[in-house]
Amino acid sequence: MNAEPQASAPLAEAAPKVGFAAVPIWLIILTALLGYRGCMYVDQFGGGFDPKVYTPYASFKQLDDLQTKDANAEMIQRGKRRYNETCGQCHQAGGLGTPWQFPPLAGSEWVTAPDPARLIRISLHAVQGPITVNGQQWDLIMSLNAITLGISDDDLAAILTYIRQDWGNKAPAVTPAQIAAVKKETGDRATPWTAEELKAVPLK
Amino acid sequence: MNFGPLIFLGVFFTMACSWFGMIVVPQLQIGGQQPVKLEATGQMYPLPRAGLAQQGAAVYRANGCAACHSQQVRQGPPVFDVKLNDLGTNAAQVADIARKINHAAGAPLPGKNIWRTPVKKDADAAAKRLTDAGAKAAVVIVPTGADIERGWGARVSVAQDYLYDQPLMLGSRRIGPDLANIGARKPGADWQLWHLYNPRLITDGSFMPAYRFLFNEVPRRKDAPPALGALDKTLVAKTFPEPAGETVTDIVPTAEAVALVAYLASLNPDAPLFEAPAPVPPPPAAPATNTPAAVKP
Ligand code: HEC
Ligand code: HEC
Repeated sequence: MNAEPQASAPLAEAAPKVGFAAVPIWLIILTALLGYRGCMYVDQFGGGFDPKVYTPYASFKQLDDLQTKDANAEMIQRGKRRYNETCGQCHQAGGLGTPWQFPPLAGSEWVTAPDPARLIRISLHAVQGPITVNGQQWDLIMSLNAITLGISDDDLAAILTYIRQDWGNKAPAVTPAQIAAVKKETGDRATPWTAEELKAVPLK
Repeated sequence: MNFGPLIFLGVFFTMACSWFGMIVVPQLQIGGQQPVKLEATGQMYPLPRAGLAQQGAAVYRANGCAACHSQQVRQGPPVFDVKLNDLGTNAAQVADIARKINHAAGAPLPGKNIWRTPVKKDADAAAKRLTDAGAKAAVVIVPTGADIERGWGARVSVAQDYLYDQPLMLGSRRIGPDLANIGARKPGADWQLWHLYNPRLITDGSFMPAYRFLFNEVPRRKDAPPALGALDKTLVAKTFPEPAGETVTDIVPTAEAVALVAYLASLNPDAPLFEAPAPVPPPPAAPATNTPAAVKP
């Protein structure tokens, strides 16, 4: 026996309807909170969207600060550049000087003396007259110096460190403080030194 | 009402956003990455893998090693060591300053770490105090984190490390240990080969599958000379079951196994990079030899 077909009205009511309904307020708030948390997270761990920044590092600046910067190497780099712009015009890029015109700095005992007191004096006020370098006699005038060339104490320290540590020279670095000290000792001297005068400067 | 177009647009924009964020932007940012010159050594990094190791990468891929082994090291924030390189002429004063920096430092000796701190500025200041006293001091950055303490790497893995890898086999699960620096961890080729032949010969209870099909098992009479290229059984003598009777079996690795091991040996990303600062690694040791020491894990 076939069942009577059911009345269609209740079925039609149960079927899903197409239309619009308001989103519950709690869902909106939850979505906003999740979005906020997401932004916080990206802000904290996103590394500023920089392709060079990986966890655990937070920013490019932090990484940059972490790089091991070799202060001495940096100083020598700067010293080399400044040397080539100044003293290197005469003493040459390789520090070998020019025969009959400019004495060498490579291997010179004036450059590599452990105490730079005499070297600083030469570079500040120049040197003239007979001088022995690497066993060779010179008798010239160094017509420019760090003061006339307008080299700052900082740069001069870098230059002297460079000429004391390149070309096979191996002497301790020179600090700006040492240069300032020599400047104070020599006062407003402007005339070049002679080798005799320099030899009278005590070395530590 | 027909919502088809609306749903299509919704799906389309969702996919477009993630495609843009996960494919386009990274491609623009690191797609053109090039090998860099390392400051410490002047070498280019990374170098392309040697041919044999490249074939090994294909074997690694074909055998699904990446299903159980990741190749990426994670890292926590670094700490800083103040290292004394040279005492200089004023040793007494340097020793005094070293004691002030760290009471527990003990006698300052060249090459010794004086202090460890999580703050770079403090480490720099301490190093400067030592340098001002005439010593040579340096600040060494030391990555930390669980992976690094396990010896799984020197630093965090970054995109640069995978420049020549195609496809990338980073892996996402660590059923076995991470293999990012297995080349440095287990440099002995014999260890690797025996471990691949049967991990249980080396590690008790290991559940890594045995890759015996990468080896030829060659029977021979006991008094005959061993097959060419056969693995040295003295290295696993305790665990290798030798059948009774007149014949023994030689284990000869196939070309695939040899390539795979060359690939494993090539895995060692430890170069200090801008994006992943790390101490300068010591120069590579002499090439791995077949010494029994290599077998000990
Ligand atoms: C105009 C060319 C000239 C410039 C620039 C110059 N020098 Fe000289 N330098 C000379 C000459 C010439 C002598 C030799 C003087 C003598 O015979 O008494 C000399 C001598 C020296 C000496 C002693 C001898 C030796 O070779 O060791 C030193 C050291 C020296 N110069 C350093 C410097 C430094 C540092 C600078 C840069 C600040 C510099 N010079 C710039 C020409 C120059
Ligand atoms: C079913 C998961 C699984 C698969 C697949 C697998 N391994 Fe392993 N592997 C392990 C487990 C677990 C260990 C740790 C126990 C041991 O040393 O044997 C391990 C250890 C290792 C080690 C030693 C690591 C160490 O630091 O001691 C190496 C090397 C290695 N697997 C290489 C491979 C290579 C190559 C393949 C592909 C040919 C591979 N594994 C496939 C699970 C797996």
